[in-house]
Amino acid sequence: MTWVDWTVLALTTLGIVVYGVVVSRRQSTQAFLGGSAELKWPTVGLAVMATQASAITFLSTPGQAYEDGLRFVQFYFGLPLAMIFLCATMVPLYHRLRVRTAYEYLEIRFDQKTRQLTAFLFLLSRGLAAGITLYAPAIVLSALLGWSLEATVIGMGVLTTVYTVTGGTSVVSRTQKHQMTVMLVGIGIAFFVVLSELPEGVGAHEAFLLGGALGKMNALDFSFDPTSRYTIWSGLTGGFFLSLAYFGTDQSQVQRYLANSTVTESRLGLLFNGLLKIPMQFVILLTGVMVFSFYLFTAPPAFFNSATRDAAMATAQGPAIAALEETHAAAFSARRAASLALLEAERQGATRDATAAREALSASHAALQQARADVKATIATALPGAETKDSDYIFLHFVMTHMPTGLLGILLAVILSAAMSSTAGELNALSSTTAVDFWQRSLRPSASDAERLVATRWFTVVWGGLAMAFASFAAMLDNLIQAVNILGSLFYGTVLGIFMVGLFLRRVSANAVFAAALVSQALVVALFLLTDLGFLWFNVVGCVTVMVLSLGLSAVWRQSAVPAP
Amino acid sequence: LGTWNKLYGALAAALLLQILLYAWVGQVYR
Repeated sequence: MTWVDWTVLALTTLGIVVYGVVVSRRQSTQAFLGGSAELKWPTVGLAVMATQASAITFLSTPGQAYEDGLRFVQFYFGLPLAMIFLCATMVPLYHRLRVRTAYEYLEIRFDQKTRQLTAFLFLLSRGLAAGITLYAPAIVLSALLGWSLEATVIGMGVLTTVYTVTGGTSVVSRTQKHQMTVMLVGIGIAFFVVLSELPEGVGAHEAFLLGGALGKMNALDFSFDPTSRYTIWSGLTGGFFLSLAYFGTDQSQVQRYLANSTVTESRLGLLFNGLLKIPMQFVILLTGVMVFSFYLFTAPPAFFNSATRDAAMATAQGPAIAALEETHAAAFSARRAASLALLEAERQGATRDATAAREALSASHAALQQARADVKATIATALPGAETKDSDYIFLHFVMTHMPTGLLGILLAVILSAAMSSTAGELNALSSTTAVDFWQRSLRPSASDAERLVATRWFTVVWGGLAMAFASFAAMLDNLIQAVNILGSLFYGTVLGIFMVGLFLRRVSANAVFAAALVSQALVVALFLLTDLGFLWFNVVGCVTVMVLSLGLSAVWRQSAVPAP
Repeated sequence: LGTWNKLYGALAAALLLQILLYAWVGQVYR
């Protein structure tokens, strides 16, 4: 890192924080709490995107394409359809009822216990997730930049908490607009920088040709395998339900389009998100494929997390790892030769040579992959319990070693902006939900707006502290992250089901939906423990079970009810 | 058709066009 990079990083990151604090000094209580109508659709749309885009989106997604190609894009196919559904149903409803959180609607439609159960599930899963939002980028940044993990977590956490406390809902959205702009510009820059780093005579077409020859360019999977994680079917249906649950019932998103805007601006903001999301993810994935093609010509490390690799080298397994790295290097040379041969054959239109080169390319790539797997296995032996999945480190390794001066600072600013913007959205939603659905509902029903503002500020401080504490704690328990991510995805189907019953099944009573939700949640957990069903399907199963069961229970309970004499 | 329904239709059409584009990319580079 040069001083130019540090300056760019500091100016973009701190500049946005200072902007947030300055703006908060001259705004109203209403804007802080989300009750004004001042935000226009570009702010709403960019804030919605910034809330969803966590740092790990930018770190993981190119690595995912490097390993697995473009097929992850299918995950987002249901999102635009969910935006249409939301704009037509829930957005006008939330605005008409003037609710401040999504859960407030559930009391209007059902009762207090349904509202507070759902709000509690949100606080539990989102509160833990906020810790991961800070922890995941901190672990990667600290490994690559040599920063202390705790300092990275606390630095990002404190900065974010400061402007979320001072500015509240409106300032979070406004800063997110700028952070998302930084991210979009950064993605564009990254794409062109990777392109320019490709060797002489290799452009985008050649990079895609080579990536395609190794199966990286196929985005669509039409197979009906229910255990396959990403197919066009799971993307369209499971992705639809997941997006509906996330954007329709998760307060961290609902707040972004509901607060401080009108129905029209909310709708336009969500449609903007629906239009831009898939192309954005596609460009990030395509950048990952180009990084893959770049490493067909420049030797990649056998293991991308150099801190873990160096630690393993210092053990008794060091010589074994060194030998495997030699095998890896030899396979790389063969793969490089095959790549050049394939490009030459394609250039001359020599079909037979091209077929032979493709076979050589596949064989040498398989040998390289085998050496890489062996290195990972040896590292696992050397350091029991160490994380041997290194795909999150691929893109940042490329950025750190090959990004031109100045641009490195921008890319790191993108990652910090992503971490801070999604954390701010989460803290903002956690504190409003605590204040509105628990503090004001159960403890201080007569609280004024000014009192609620003070309470919300304190809850933001508490949630910020909890997120940082949890992020530091997560360092000790790697499996915790898995558990938290799974926890979140297990609740979504049931919560969505409760909202769908509220919207569409007018005859279902509060007790029926409450009982159905408990049964559905047990069923989803059982499916998770006992089957290999792809996780996107849990959203469909949870939602449909709540709807069908609550309908059935209502009918049975109505019939068995003894009429009063 | 109302303005909103036209916008919803446009977004759905954009999704379909993108899926076709990705199918085409997959065919060209394989």
